[in-house]
Amino acid sequence: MTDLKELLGDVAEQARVYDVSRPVVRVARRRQRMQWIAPVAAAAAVALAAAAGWAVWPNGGAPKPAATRTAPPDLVTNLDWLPAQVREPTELPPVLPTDKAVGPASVAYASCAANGCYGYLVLPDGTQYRLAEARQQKDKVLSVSLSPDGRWLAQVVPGAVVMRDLAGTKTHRVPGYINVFEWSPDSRWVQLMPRDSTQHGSHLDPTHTIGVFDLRNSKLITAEVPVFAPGPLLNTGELVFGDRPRNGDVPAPARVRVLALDPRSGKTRTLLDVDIADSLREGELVSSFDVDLTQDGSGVMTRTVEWLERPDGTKVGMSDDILKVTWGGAVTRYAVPRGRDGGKPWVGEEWGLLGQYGKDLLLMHSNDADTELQALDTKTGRLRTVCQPPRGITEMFLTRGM
Amino acid sequence: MDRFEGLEEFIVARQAALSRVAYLLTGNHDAARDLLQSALEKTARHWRRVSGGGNPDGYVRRVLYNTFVSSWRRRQRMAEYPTAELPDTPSRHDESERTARRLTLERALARLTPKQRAVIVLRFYEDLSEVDTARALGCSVGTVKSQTNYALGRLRSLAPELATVMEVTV
Repeated sequence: MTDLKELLGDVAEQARVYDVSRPVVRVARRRQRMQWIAPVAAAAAVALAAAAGWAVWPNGGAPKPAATRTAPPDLVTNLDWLPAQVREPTELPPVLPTDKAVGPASVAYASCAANGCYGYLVLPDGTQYRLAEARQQKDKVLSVSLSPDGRWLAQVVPGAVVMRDLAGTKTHRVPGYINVFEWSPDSRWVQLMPRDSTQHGSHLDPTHTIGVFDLRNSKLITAEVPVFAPGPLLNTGELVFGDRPRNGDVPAPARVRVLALDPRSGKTRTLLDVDIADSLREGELVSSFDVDLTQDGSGVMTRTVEWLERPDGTKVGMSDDILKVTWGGAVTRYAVPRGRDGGKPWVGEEWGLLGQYGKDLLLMHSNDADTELQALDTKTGRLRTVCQPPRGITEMFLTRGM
Repeated sequence: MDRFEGLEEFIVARQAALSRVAYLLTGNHDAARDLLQSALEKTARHWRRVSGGGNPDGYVRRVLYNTFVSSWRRRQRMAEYPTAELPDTPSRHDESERTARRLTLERALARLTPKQRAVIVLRFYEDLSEVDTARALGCSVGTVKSQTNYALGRLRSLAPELATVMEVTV
């Protein structure tokens, strides 16, 4: 009998030898040159700015004012809560206090760089707390999620998910769950994945069980979900997921079908079932299953996908523009820059959609050298950098709602 | 002294084995090449320290796995087709049982999360212990156990015809 190792070996044998030695060494040397050049350029820029009488840093280098409100709003409609820059502190910050409120958080990240391996929580004014002791130690927090308003910090601990109210000291411990999937836009509901692996369905019957926790009433609801990957939650607590008429493994290219399931009644209703072929360009299709809600719950965000041909003749699907499709079927396209790199689009830049905050779409922009958070203004189409994550090998970096 | 002395030789010597791991993790050639290049570029930044530590292979493997797993957070909200094509469906001319099983496993692996996939590769391809797997992924042993159980359960669900292959002790 073929065992798993042997079968994995068969899969591995399909690999080619990817000869990357020259590009790796070339990039390393180029980076080294840039490191030598950067201090000189920076010094020149400071000197120029000083000569012109300009302040190089907004507020003369002072940190952003701290958020004064600990009771968060239902919806956050701007990106002022994001610190412009997150740096791993040179000295270990204090552990997140359990006996006092710290206010809504902006970012959580984990890093194994200067201080060892730790998880960190960052507030809008740049204040940082340690989430736990060294991450390799047993029983320590490894996986976290922040609610869209930053008020709730969900931590996966052995055998449970613990949700901490950062605007107070309250915690909810939900045993039997091992991951946090999605939040409702108003941060009232959170979707959890149960520990029992027998409850995760199959390709013949994808029905499986998930948990929906009501943070307002401290109540857990379990629900049978008819798809593998349910999406976000409405402010009603309903689960939203994309569905698509399929022809074998190929989804219909322009049909957007979105359903909502009420975990209390088990009833499913159709929110959207529309063909948007008229809004697509030649060769485009839409992503079928991953849907993000618009922040006001009036529709969904999805990505266009374009099939591009590689030099070897095979094709690859690339995420491109963002489409907003309202429940009424109206489609609005938001152009995302194409990070195509000299005919090799699949190794170029990418912009992942993280969420909507008022008129801004928050995107994670990354290329082979850097990662930063950018905001796409849906009114003007302007793209601007709003937050620079820590440099170096960061294990995890997430913002509100992730 | 050249800061990158020995780097190119190390890559040339190890890239075949590392290519296999990268392919197992990603499931397609372009993504595997990108992952390997990205991991080696990160390794190159610290090459003097890494090569001086005596175990550059272990270091680059850890970076490889962590780069793969940490990319998930930013990819998870992207479109259904991030970079990969699905493995080919067996043709009438390619009907050997072993090939069919391999393709079935490839399809099932493609449906796992990166962390689950990484755990499967580390535990059952690289034969690492739970402790070493936890060390490689920078997580707890408990996480490795739960991810392994969940991944195997998911594979059994996705590919019931391979259920006997998944009957492994965890």
